[in-house]
Amino acid sequence: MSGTPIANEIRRLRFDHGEMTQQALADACRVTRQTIIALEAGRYAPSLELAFRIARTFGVGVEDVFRWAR
Amino acid sequence: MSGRRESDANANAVAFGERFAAGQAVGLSCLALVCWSMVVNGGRVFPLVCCSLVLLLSLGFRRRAAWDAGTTRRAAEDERDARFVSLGDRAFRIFATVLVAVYALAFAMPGVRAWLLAEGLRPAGVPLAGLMLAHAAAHAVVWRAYVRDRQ
Repeated sequence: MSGTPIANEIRRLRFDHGEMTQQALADACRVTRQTIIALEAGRYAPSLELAFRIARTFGVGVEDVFRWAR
Repeated sequence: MSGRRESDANANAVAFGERFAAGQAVGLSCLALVCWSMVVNGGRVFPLVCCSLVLLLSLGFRRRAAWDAGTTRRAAEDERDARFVSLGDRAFRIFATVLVAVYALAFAMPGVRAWLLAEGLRPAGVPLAGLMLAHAAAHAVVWRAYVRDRQ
């Protein structure tokens, strides 16, 4: 399950939103902090639903958070 | 900076699912050993009943543990955990299928059949212990998947 072609800007967006903690983002998206850690490390590709939840939490579009890296 | 503190804490961030899988793998392995020594070899009824009841109750262990872990507003499990659990489910199907097939084939061999039927509770104890081992192996697969993902 390691390695995904989907890169993301979650870490940068967290810091742009008042240094939001991983736990705060996890609570807002109703996932575990471990999932946020795995996402930021590029070890996990989220479902479409979770991708939308994360984007909505930051108030941006999905493509502003995730991009195809390869 | 909070980001640095979080990075430092990442190494210790063990998911509920990983802790549960590790506990279940160890616990069910021990229970299988107890079943083998006291039921298969010992022929005792009370351990057979206890092991069977624990195995039945184990179906609700995950929900109970998740409820304990998620009593706050935080999620204990999510879609990523479901992916790991699905690996364990697949492993259990394989282990259980192999177990039952080998057990059935064992009855086709006169020597093994004689050993199985030599003790009254042995025909019940062997598949019970095997089923617990299959559960333990499946939990071990989930545990390993979590550990590999963290590395």
